[in-house]
Amino acid sequence: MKKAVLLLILAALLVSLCSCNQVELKSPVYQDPVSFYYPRAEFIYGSSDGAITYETREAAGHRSDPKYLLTLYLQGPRDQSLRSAFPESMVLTDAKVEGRTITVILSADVALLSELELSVAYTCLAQTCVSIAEVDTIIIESRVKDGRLYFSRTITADQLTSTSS
Amino acid sequence: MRRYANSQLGYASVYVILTSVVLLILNIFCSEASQRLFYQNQESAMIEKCLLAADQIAQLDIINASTVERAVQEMDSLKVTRLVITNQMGMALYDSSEAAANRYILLPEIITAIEGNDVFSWQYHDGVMYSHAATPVVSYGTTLGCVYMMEYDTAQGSLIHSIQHTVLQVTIVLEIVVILFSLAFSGIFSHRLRKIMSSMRIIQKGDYSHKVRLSGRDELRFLGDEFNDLTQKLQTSEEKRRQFVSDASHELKTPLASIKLLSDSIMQNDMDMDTVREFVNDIGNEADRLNRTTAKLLSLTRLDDQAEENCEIIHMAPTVDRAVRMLSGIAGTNHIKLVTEIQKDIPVLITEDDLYEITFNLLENGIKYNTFGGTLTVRLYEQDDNAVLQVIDTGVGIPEDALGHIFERFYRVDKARSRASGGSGLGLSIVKNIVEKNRGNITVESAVGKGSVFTVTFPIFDMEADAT
Repeated sequence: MKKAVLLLILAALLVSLCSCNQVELKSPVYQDPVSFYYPRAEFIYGSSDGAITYETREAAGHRSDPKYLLTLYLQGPRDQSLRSAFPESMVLTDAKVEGRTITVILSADVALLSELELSVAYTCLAQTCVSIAEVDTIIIESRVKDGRLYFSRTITADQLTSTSS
Repeated sequence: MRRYANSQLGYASVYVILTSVVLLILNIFCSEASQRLFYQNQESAMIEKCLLAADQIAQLDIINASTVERAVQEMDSLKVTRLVITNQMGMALYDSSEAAANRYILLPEIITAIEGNDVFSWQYHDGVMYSHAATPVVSYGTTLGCVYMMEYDTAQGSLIHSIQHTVLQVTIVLEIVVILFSLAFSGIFSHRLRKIMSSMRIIQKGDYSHKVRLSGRDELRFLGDEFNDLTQKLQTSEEKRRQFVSDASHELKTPLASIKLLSDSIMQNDMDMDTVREFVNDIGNEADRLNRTTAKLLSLTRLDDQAEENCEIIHMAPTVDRAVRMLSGIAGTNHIKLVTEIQKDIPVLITEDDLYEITFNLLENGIKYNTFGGTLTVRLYEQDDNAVLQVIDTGVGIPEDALGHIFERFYRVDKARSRASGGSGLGLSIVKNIVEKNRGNITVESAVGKGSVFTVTFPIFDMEADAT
């Protein structure tokens, strides 16, 4: 009986130690954190969590380079519970900040998305832009290869607040 | 004293843990069942409301914030905590809470509904029930947006809370009862077990008269009774052993005392050679008696320890004849007439030595305790599948009150006569032991002044039936 209790206590200690170790591994320290927003891979209905959430990434040394950060963003999330909002073929042509407005120019692959998917993708991108730069207006343009404008949407920061109940 | 872990407390703990787990499962099941009951009612009600609203919106010619608001105002009966109507891009056209009007409202329920599915989700937390439902607004096969509703219900929530609380209270009361009963039963069981253990310790110290007193009709009571039987047997055995040692010491002491007395007399007195010779002869006789007694004691000890020997099938007549021949000289000296009526060909399963010793001892007794000029009859015959050996003497006989003791070790009817004739008081005891060892039986009938009849019976060995 005593042996069984001892074994249980040891097992509990081992589990606790492993958990602590995992917590430490999952909590890296960022010098200059930014939030990359992505849709959840699977929805959790009825919870206070919305369909979109973020993962924290390091922006140290690149804070003034939105093109670099957005290229990194388009490569997709690291967290397995999230998914990329854009098609894999999507290319970032340019990203520039002027005052409190950021203009993001993407390839015309947005045509692959439905209106709803586009809303989700643009919301994710817009929220990411607000996180990486001090902006309140996000202009997202899609251009074909010869530079002609295919699609454009302007999103303001006050349109982005409700992703949860 | 060795210390033992309280196993009953362990069993009680296991029992309590098991019942706790069962009660916990039952508690969770009841809680889940009550929630599921409300869930089913709520799901159909909420979806119905959403479909009703979606149907109204779909009938609008133009869907924008103002037309949707007007349509919602006409739907007074909805009565939900929050109502949101979005376009196909997930932008809120109407929000009763006004928190998300003209904003993207990308809730999982809304996205799923715009993708064409009805959604219902439900949450219960701290006495409040939160229900979410969303359905697409479809017109001519095209999804135009979605209707999302959220209800915050404290009435049903508190009902669920009350049910869960009651079930929990009942569970706790039941668990306390189980714990109390487990402790009580384990205490009673342990107490009874400890009684047996302490009795064992008392008996270990040599008090065989101690008895375990247990009430009830269960296994422990049975164990206690068995234990008492065992100690009773031990006590009897111990008493017999003590009696035997005492008797044996006494029997050995008497000839030794005689030898000592005779030798002291020779040493201390001036005697003529004839008297010395007489005393030395007496010493020799006492030494012979001592020798015979020790030989018989050894024989008895061997019989007690001996497992059943390898028996053989023998015909009794030759062995009985041999014993008669051996003692005929002594019988003649004592003027005792030996009569034999021996039936041949009676097979029994016994060793020849055992049969000889039985016959010899009975005949020797018949001669010793016979009267001058008396008769000693030996009969061997077959009766009811038994071989019967009878030794009938015309001697002094045995008093009725002594008949029950004559097979006991060192018992003598007439001590003086027995010693004078060289008896040790062990002969009949040895005979009875040998007879019983060979599945036989011995009885005695006697009348004082007329003589005694010793009857020994053995089952006849049936050559055909018993051999198989």
